[in-house]
Amino acid sequence: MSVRSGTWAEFCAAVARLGLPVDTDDLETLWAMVRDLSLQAAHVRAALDHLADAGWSAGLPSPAPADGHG
Amino acid sequence: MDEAVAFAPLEDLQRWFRSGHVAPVELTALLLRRIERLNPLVHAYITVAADRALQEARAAQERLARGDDAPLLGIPVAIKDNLSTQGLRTTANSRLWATWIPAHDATAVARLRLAGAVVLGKTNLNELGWSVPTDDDLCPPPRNPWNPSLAAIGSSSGSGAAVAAGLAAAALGTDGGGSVRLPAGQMGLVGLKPTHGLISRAGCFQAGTLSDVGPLVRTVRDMALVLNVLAGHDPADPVTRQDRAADYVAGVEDGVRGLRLGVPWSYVDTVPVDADVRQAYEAALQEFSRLGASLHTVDLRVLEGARAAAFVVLNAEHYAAHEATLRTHWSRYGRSARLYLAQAAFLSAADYLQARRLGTLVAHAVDRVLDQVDVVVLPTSPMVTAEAARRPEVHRCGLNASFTAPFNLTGHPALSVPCGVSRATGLPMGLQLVGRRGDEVRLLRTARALERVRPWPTQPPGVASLPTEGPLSQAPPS
Repeated sequence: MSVRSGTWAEFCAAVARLGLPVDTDDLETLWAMVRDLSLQAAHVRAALDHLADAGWSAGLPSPAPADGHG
Repeated sequence: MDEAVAFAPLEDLQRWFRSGHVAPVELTALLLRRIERLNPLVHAYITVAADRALQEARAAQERLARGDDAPLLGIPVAIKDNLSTQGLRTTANSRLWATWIPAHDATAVARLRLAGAVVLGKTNLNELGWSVPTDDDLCPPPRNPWNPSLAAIGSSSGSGAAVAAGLAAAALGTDGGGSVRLPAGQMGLVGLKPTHGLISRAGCFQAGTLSDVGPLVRTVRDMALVLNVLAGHDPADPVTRQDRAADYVAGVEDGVRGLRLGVPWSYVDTVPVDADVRQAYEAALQEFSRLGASLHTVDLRVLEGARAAAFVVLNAEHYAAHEATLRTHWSRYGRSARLYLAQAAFLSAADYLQARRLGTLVAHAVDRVLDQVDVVVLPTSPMVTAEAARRPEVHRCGLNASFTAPFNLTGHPALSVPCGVSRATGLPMGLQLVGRRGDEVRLLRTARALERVRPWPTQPPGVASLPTEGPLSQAPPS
């Protein structure tokens, strides 16, 4: 979700949209936690990329070139 | 009765029951007295079922007198408070479930009862098994019986503290990222996260896909005895496996001569490990070598991504379980628990699925390594104290579970066995052994070889040094 890399105001608005009654005093802590967790998700993607470069794959093959269908 | 009986291994208790040296009712009464005295200090139990436990002990005593040979007859056990117990409140240390009394036992609890075990009560945990514990929790966090001025690590911290403090002979925990192995390591116990699906999770409160039920006990042979009772298929949990060993005790004394042990230095070196942990790890490897095992460096750098992936999966699944309730009952969650749950509201479905994809790849990588070696050997925890593990910069990225969480993601069995005491803190440290799926027998055999040459004190000095009479302070000593 883009709010992870967005502004503080966007984050506060997203929390309100979710209906989570987070105490004002805790919003900053939660934002730090959200961004730390976002880094973990990014770390997972980097690890997948690294493994793909090494020839490992657990999902679909890479997309064929645009003219490669058929 | 000598208080040392409270720390006896299961086989000694069984022998004493049969010889009449100790009676199940006497033992249960002793442990209940110890709980009454020590629990205000250690906070191991949330609920104690004293009257019912004495009834169960009396029934066990009568069965013994009739020649019944049920495998855990009269053995007093403790159950983590996220496992359902029929007629006994199950809170998950949450105000939301503070008065819930389940109608049925979790399958693991039912199997213990069927084997004759006496349920003493329900043990403390991080709220809902997913938060940093605080004094604001329904029940304040457990202290470490080895040094009650320090916290016990979780989330099965109460189960570990109960066994370590001589307040139960064995305990059940649950392990979604290390929650059995980490407290076992830090409290001088043997703890097992079994092969995913070896032990039924039916009746486990909101168990995610990475969690397994696992025992915490004093010795490797105790673990084998309890596993004999718990392992096996359960129609109520479709994930459970059809295969299990016929007997987990058989072969446990076979030693490690000829076994090939994998040492993943290239991963261990990426994790900031306490100096005492590193030293104990290296000493244990040397011990295995002296005992006739061969050591082989293996490449498991993929575990670094697995740690992150496990953390993403755990977060997403915990949030999913509480998504609706967080909106409607926010203030009834503890402050720590609600923030820990809410952080995953901003993960995407793609984040979750990429983490699962990575888990599949890492599981294949671990399988390939385990084609070449019999057991992979790692520290259980990078750090010794719960205080260090709970620093925000450590806990928020799952660094404290660097060596344990990857194997929840892959499903391999992993067992923690004591391997030393930290000179800096006086707390025990664990060694983790990881094996092929379904190969718990070889893990037990390897762990027993180390235990045999390095026997372990079962009475923690912290609790043992307390006065046996007079009131105890409820505040942890500084």
